[in-house]
Amino acid sequence: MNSETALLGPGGITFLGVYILSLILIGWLGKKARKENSLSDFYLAGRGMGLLVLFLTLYATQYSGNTLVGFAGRAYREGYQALVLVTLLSSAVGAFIVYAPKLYRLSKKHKFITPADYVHFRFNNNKLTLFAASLCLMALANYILTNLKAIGYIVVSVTGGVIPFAYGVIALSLVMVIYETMGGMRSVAWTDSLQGIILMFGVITIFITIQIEYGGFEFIYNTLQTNDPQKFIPPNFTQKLSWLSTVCLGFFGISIYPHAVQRIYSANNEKTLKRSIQIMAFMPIITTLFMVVVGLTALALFPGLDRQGSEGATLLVLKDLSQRGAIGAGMMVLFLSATIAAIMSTVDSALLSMSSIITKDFYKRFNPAKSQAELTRLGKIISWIIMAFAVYLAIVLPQTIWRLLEIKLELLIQVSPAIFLGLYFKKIKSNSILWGMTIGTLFAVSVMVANKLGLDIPSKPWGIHAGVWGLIINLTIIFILEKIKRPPIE
Amino acid sequence: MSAKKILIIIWIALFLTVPWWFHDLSNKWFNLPDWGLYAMSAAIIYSFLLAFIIQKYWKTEENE
Repeated sequence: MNSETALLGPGGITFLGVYILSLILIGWLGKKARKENSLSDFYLAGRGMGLLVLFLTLYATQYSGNTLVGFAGRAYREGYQALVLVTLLSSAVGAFIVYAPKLYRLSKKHKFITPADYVHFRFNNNKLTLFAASLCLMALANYILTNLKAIGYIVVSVTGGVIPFAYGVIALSLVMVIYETMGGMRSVAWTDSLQGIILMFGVITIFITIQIEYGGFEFIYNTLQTNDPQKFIPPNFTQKLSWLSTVCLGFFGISIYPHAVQRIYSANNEKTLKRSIQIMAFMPIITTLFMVVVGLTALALFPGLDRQGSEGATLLVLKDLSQRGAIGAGMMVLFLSATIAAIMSTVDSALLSMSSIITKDFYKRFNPAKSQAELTRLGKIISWIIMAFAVYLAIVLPQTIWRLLEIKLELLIQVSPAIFLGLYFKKIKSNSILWGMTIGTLFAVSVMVANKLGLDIPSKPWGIHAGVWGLIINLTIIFILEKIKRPPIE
Repeated sequence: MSAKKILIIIWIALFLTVPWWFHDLSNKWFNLPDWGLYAMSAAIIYSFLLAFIIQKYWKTEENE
């Protein structure tokens, strides 16, 4: 590639560079606003987030680069069946309604920092706490790695390869870790706010432009009727089960991402949390649905792309709009900024969350005498180590290993009974939860790994994700053990 | 309303967002296949339902 194939000209790249560097300034402002040198201040912004910042950081964190690039690609491949993605994101908001009010009140009273803090408070079982924390860590590590890889590819596309993949990953990771370690959650939330605004504005603008330029759903329907009529066939029963299973992953998986739980802890009061989640209920419509429409438009405009080609569906639509004169260079800069913003806001939040879990759930549990200042300093060092390791892996890991790492929600979903049942079933015991979590995880991981290694085992037996099967087994074991009142395993 | 009742309502609504009732080749409704329009409308209605539940049944400690 060369500069002639770059998506942006020198002016656009300079603007993007200035925007990215401005995040460091926001990080510095976050550091200046620090009230005390404590874990609560560093990881939860002193539990003082107001409505606008809380909503925008929840929004920017929940919608990653995958929303802007991956969802449109999936809509390209699956057609209207990709509408399940709208419900996937909505279902997580439904889960917030169920657990957030009670968990928030408990977190305020007992000063939780991480999701595993609640698990430990509720069940008082070290094995269970560490296992839940480990599953959270693995899911977050996967999140960071896949998003770092995505950001590297975007930098290559934006600059036409003038900035190579590895340099792009290193440079943007450096920016993220600098502002993250300067002001912790406060810096991350403030940068998320800026990134959230750019993300929302970018998605709405591209959706409206598509409606005006091509004709929206009418254009898609009429074109697909000629080119790809099988996209109109309704899902069969297995696909419908898969639809429901996807919704389960959203409800029990996406909703308990540690960085999402920590934002619940960070609200300055319950009313702020309530309003933020209420606004979040509409975000799948103006973000996910709009990106599905972008993917369907790409399908109508550019039929015949393979899987890899379809991942670039959004960029193809943008290029076409640009060639038609419907959008100028400014719009292209806006959308690419939105994509990079979406990825950075997700990675920084996941990084902060990983750092908090290692510091609080692992290190502090075995070193209870350490002061808050010492732990905060350690947390910052851990952030740098995690980022360095993640950057290294993002650059050198072969594709075959990547396929094994694509297990994220399948793991996290196994933690959900500890939170949902723990909050509402007072008599449930730690051993039942531990056994359920262990066997559910083993099942899900075995199926996923066997499938990724090429064995004749589907990743979605009968249309249901391995993780959801794992959750069903997890819950069944909890139910059986609670009924027979099995003696403790410790 | 208790959290358990809210959970049940939310899951009934989520179950209904799946286009279970469409089996044959689709008809065109508002420039969408009928089942696509159903899935999209159900997702939008679900969002409004969530906003309504939050407004009506999430009693904050300050209000209690």
